[in-house]
Amino acid sequence: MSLSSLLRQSNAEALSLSQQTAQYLRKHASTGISTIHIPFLSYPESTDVWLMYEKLLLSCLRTGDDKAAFNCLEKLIDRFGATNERVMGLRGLYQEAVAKDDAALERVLQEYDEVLAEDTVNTPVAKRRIALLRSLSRTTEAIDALTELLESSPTDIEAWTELSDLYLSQNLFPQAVFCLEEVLLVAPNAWNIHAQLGEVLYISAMNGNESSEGRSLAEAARRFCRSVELCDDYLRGYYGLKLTSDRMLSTNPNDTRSTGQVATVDNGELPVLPTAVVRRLNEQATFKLAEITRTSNSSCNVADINAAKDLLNRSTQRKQR
Amino acid sequence: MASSSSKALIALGTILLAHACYSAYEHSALHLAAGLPLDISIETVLSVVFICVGLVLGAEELKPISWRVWAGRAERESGGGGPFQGLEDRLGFVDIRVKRKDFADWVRDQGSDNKG
Amino acid sequence: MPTERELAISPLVQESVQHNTQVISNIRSLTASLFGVASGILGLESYSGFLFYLLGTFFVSILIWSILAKGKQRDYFQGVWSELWAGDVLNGGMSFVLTWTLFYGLVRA
Repeated sequence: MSLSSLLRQSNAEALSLSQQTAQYLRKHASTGISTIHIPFLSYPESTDVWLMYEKLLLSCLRTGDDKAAFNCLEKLIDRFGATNERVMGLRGLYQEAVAKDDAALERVLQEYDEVLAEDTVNTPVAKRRIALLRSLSRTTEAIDALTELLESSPTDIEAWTELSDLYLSQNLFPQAVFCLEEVLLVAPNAWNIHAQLGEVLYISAMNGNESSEGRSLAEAARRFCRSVELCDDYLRGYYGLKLTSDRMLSTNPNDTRSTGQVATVDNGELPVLPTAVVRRLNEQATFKLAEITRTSNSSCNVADINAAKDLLNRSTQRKQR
Repeated sequence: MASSSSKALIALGTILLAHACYSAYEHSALHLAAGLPLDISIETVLSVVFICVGLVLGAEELKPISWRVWAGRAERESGGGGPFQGLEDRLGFVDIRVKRKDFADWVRDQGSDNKG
Repeated sequence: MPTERELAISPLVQESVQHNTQVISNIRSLTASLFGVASGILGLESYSGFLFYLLGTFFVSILIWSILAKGKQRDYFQGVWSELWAGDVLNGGMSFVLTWTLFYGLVRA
């Protein structure tokens, strides 16, 4: 299990992981304390141990086992020193988690400010500060801090995605789209980001003015198409494609243009998709969604499958009416 | 299953090959001029076939080189999601207090379920 | 070979390509030495020895194609001919000759 999948694991999994902590700490009580490496006598140090400590720290914080979390943190501080950037970020995380009231959180925030005043390029701490600002619903400040961070490290795609999410929470759709496009410049094959960009475009089309709706929807459909092109049987992509094409068909069902006009126009903008193409995409998405929901096994995300089934049922009901 | 049968095949093949090798050595020491008897030749070829099949069966599985197939497989693996899942989880920006609250709520739900 | 445009539309996973090449070359180098041992025991000389090696390589290729690639060679190899059917024949030839001469000498000492 990688470090990032930690956040998606269920509460039960987090609990069982955090219950292993005490045992793990006992087993590895000696590692990291001796600084002199004796060949053949001591095991070579592996990064796995420290990643495991980080993992346990996060699960313990999540399950509220603060004491065990503190032990993990102490191990990490012993090994890497209190001035290691990553350790500083984790320490901040611990302090945020155990903070009792808003005043305590303010103190943590002040501490972050002090650290950043000395060392402006301390990325983990800067990220923690932004997350804390967001958690305190000071979103505009978070956005400002994040844009500043991105100015110094413009290839940090994690930060770009977070910024897009922040803009989205403020209903600033063009900015959110721009941030995701920036992510795709660095990682052009990230199928989930293509799907996410499609989702943002779809939401913006639903909330925007009438004039730009068609273009946003077409762009969203293109993004969803790319995401299913990059990933076989991608439920999320087909779901979005179905939603988008349904919407496109219901807004202008009697577009009479032929399929011959798909080519790019000279001014660089992509044309609105012809209805025949949209209809075929819609059919394909419906077919694929039905297939995926039929063949899915228990390991897949049940909520996603049920949402897809709902969507299919709704669209068939509409057709029958 | 494949690995155990591959190990058995390789072991069998190796024994046969060693035996064939020793037989051929003894034979050449006794009858210098005569060619190799048929049974030793068959044993040798058979042992080679066994070892080859065992090696191929025991080899690591190939991975699909097409991005589409590979990504689809990564997406379906439980707990997977491929190399870009981290972009959606964003560990560096995690809001730990919300996570804690979620967990506390979940524990309370479990508790009330058990009682009721 | 696919063109640059095709690669941009459906990219390849470099990690998998390297993994597959590694797996194949492991099998090839092991089996090449094995064929050397066998042809040494059989006492093959000159052309018949090399013919034996080529036949053996072909046999291993068929095994890889049917067992590992499950008949779908295009899914696992970029250049099917160079990576699956004829890959590493020359490199394997070196270890083949080495073990061939060694075992020929051992058995017929």
